Amino acid sequence: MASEAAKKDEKSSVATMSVEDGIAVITIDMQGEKVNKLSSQLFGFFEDTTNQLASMKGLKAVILTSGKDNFVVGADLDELKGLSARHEILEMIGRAHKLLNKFERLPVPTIAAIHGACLGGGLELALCCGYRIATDAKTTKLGFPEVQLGLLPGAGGTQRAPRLVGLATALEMILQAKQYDGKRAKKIGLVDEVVHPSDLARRARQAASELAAGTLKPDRPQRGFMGMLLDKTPARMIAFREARKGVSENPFAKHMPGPMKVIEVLERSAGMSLEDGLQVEALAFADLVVTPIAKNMINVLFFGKNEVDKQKVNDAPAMKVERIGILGAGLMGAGIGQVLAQKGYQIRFKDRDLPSLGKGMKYAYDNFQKQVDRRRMTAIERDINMSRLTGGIDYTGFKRSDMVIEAVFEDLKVKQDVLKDTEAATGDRCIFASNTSSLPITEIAKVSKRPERVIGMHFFSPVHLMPLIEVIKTKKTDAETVTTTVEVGRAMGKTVIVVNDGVGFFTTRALGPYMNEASYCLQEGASVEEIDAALTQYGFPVGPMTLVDEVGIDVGEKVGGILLKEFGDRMKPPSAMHKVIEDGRKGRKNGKGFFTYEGPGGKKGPVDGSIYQVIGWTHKPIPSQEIADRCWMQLLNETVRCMEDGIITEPMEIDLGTIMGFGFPAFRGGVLHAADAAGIGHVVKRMGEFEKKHGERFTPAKMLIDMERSGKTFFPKK
Amino acid sequence: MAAAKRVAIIDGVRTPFARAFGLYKRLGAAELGKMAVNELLARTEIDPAEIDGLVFGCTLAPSAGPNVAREIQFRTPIPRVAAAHTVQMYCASGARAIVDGCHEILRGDADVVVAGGVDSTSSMRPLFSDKMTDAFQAAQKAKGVGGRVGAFSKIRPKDLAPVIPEIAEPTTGLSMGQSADRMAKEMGITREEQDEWALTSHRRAAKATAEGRFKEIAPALIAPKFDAPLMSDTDIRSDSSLEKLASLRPVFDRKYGTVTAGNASPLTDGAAAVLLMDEAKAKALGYKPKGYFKTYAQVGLDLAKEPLLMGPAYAMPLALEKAGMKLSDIDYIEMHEAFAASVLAAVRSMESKKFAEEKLGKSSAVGKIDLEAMNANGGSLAIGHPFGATGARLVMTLLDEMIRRKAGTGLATMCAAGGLGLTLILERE
Repeated sequence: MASEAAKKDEKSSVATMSVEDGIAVITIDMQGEKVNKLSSQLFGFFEDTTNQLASMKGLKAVILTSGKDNFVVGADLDELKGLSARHEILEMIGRAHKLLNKFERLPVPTIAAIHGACLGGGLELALCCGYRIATDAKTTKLGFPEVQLGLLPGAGGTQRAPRLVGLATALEMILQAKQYDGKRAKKIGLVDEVVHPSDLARRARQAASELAAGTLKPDRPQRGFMGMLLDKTPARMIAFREARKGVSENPFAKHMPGPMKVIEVLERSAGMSLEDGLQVEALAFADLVVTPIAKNMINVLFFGKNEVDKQKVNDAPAMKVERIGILGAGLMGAGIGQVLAQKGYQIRFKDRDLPSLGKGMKYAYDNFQKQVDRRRMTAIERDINMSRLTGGIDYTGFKRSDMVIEAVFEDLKVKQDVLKDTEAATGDRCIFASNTSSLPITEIAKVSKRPERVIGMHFFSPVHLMPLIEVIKTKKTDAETVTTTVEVGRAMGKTVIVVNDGVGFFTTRALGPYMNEASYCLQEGASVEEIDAALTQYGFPVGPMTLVDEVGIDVGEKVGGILLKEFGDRMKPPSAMHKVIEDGRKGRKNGKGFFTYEGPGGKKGPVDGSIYQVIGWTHKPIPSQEIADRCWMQLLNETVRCMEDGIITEPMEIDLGTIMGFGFPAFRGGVLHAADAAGIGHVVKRMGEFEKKHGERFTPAKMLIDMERSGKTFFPKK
Repeated sequence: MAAAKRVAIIDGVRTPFARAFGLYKRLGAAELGKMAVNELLARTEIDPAEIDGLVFGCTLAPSAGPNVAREIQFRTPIPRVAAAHTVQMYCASGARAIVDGCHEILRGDADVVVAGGVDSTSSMRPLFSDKMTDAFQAAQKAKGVGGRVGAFSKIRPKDLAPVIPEIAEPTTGLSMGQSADRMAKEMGITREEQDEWALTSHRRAAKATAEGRFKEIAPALIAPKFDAPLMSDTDIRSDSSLEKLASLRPVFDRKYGTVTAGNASPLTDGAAAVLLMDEAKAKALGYKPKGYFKTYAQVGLDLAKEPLLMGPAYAMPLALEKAGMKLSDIDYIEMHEAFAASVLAAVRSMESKKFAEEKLGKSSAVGKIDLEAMNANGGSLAIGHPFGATGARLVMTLLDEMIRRKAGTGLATMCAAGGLGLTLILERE
């Protein structure tokens, strides 16, 4: 609407200011938005307001607060996305720095009154105030999430944070993108007071008067001797060395340019004046924004994820879900139950005997306890979460289930049997969700009396850490079942992609040829270490050989067999794998795989050298680049075939699925972004070379060839 | 005229009862209670939104969350908008909670109530001495380090000794066991008789356990290990014998006493819960109740004149009178076995014309209790006695045995500390 646009242009539509008894209160409240963002519009408001304040007679103090249940959630990434030239970025940052400096230097005390999310640019704004009061609400979070998007705090965060909380804490805050609630923020000195939300406005006024009268001095934690050394002397190099080590050892962070750049900025600017330090920060920020990595991350993990997380999957409203039955309290079932219980669902497990049930309960309890140990949960919250997990060895307590998730053995007959039992034990509206990684849901649903309520819900292990759920709908699944399942998945805090049914759906099917290709490389003479190194260098958090040991070599073989039966020779595993299976190697779970383990399920050690005799192997190294290309292009090719078959078609969902489902390098933006970046022409050519050498499994999918001919890409070109 | 309201007892569930300071050592009352309630909800498949209230009996209410019923509720799917209260009537607490629940339904204040009882005897904590407590309180109020330290300046070594809470009568200063010993002496109940009853209790309970009669038990997976599920009560001894019992030394009156650890109920942790429902509501929801609440009676004794544990001898005739029934109309009885002596004393009093004349003002004895139709599956001596839970346990044991025997009427009775007694009368149809 035109009037809407006009409104947005008015400066008053982003924030208001009122002055009473010499205390100015600036209330940020962007009209038409759920959250406040640091935007050029807000900058505009601040420019005018700061000028006004600087010359205001009788002004005693300034309070900065929000009219929403969030303070400021960060920079407006839409604006950032629009900037591609370095000079544009530097200009924008320069404007922000100048403005914030001016605000910081107002001759009167400034107070940030913070309730709700105060992240990124929001925190940088709050850091320009002389005094900060936060609420003790659970929603109050302070932190710098920038590195997760391939960026760094660019509006003074790298400079003001270490000055306030010390170098060591600032490094931790920024590098680990840690978020602090009011209490913890107070502990590290990030805020000066913590109050109940209903007291915030009153206390802010009071503190403003006290600060103006000089009766209140911020009470900030002492940094101690070590802290002083790090902050003020060359001993700080110890902190930087430790930080660099931490980053280089983190499988995700090490591929990202942000973390190392943060360290570099802090190191270079140590001891500099604020102005000089801000200059260092601005240049580094501009370096990062223009990298394809930051662009990919912002596109996929921010905009893409937001869109996928919010999109309506169909018009049917979701059914209310309170009680969920879970069949099987193994690692998967227990993990699903744990996350659901924590989100408030009532869970009823069924397992074959009480000791198995007990193991599942313990798994959930231990995961809660870890949160208690990290003080993310109280002991009472742990007990209350555990109270939502009950179980038995039959279907007692299942009658009123709104949904039943099966996590039993991966076998069609077993799954069909539990489906029949579940339908007999539950009401007609109960949704049956199968947590299978490969079996077609349509097949499972063949024995169903109500196939419209049958759906697939493919979780990834460990459930509490993996951010993706693949929901699989059949031709018969009704719309309400799909929406409801997606909503449950989202309530678990996961990103949900909805795919059509087919053997292996999307994620398992795409991963199959990738894993196979790694085994072919092994059979041809690459070592286990070389293969894993090639793919971790490419950016995967773990290599395929480690992954197959984790998942279970037997599971891999079983799933591989199902894929082979459906898709034929291109899914055929190398003969070496049969020998590995025959040797009784199942991976980490039986302590025998490609690597050595401290007993079944135990800690991973170095490569098990005896594996090479088992497969009759002689070392013939394959260039790292070639291993990586062969593997990820197999993944790409099968992904494209899934698109051709209509299993999944939306490129953004595909890329999120590959990143969140099996760790495709996030900085590459997912497999399709990676293909676009490499060039479809290059990919097709390279696959042609591999085809000649290794056969038809490398024949590019028709869609790839068409794209190459027409010059199309998966995502629109910038 | 519409038929009078009746309260249906749909089902009951309890945890296995475990010896105090044992398997449930780290579970508080709320955690124990939730185990029973959550399984009750699962077995009855009740929609938690139907539940109007939760009443629980608890004698050793923890100082953190003394309204145990509410703390339990927080650990169940029962909506928070339903109210919960905790009942304290010593060993009759669980039964009194059921009475409360029934009354709420009969008055029309509620249609569905979860009632029960719990105690974690293991959770009893030693207390600081009065002087230490005073010092702590003074220190909290004091300003500065000096003031805080100063608050402790008058503390002497003897004040550091903790006060261990006893299961004793604050007024008489006598422990339960001492009272039982006195009662045995006054009523002429011998050591042999007590041991024999204890043996009967254990044998019956062992047989009932072996035959799987305690269907009300929900197997317990115990945090934080959740291994080795506990399937049954831990104190039942199938290998007990008169010789073994006779070899035990009296605990309370070491010289002349007859009460031993063998013929007294053990300190126990556990919880029990029943689902109570307005009869019409139960019918509408399609439940087949296990039985119905008919009436109850509770008494308090003048401890200057009566032995502490004689409650049942007074509460039984009173309840029968309220129900318009004779003892012979009752098909089956569950009697709480605080001590073998207390059971035998109650049984004898019922048979005694003298007791009836002198204490009840009646011309004939209340009646003879058929010991084969009482505590057929053992009692608290063997099964254990988590104070608050026992009353609710008696109700579920009673109903199941009534069903097994096709008995029409049943009675549960118990003594309680403070000279209290409570009797419930239930009917099947």
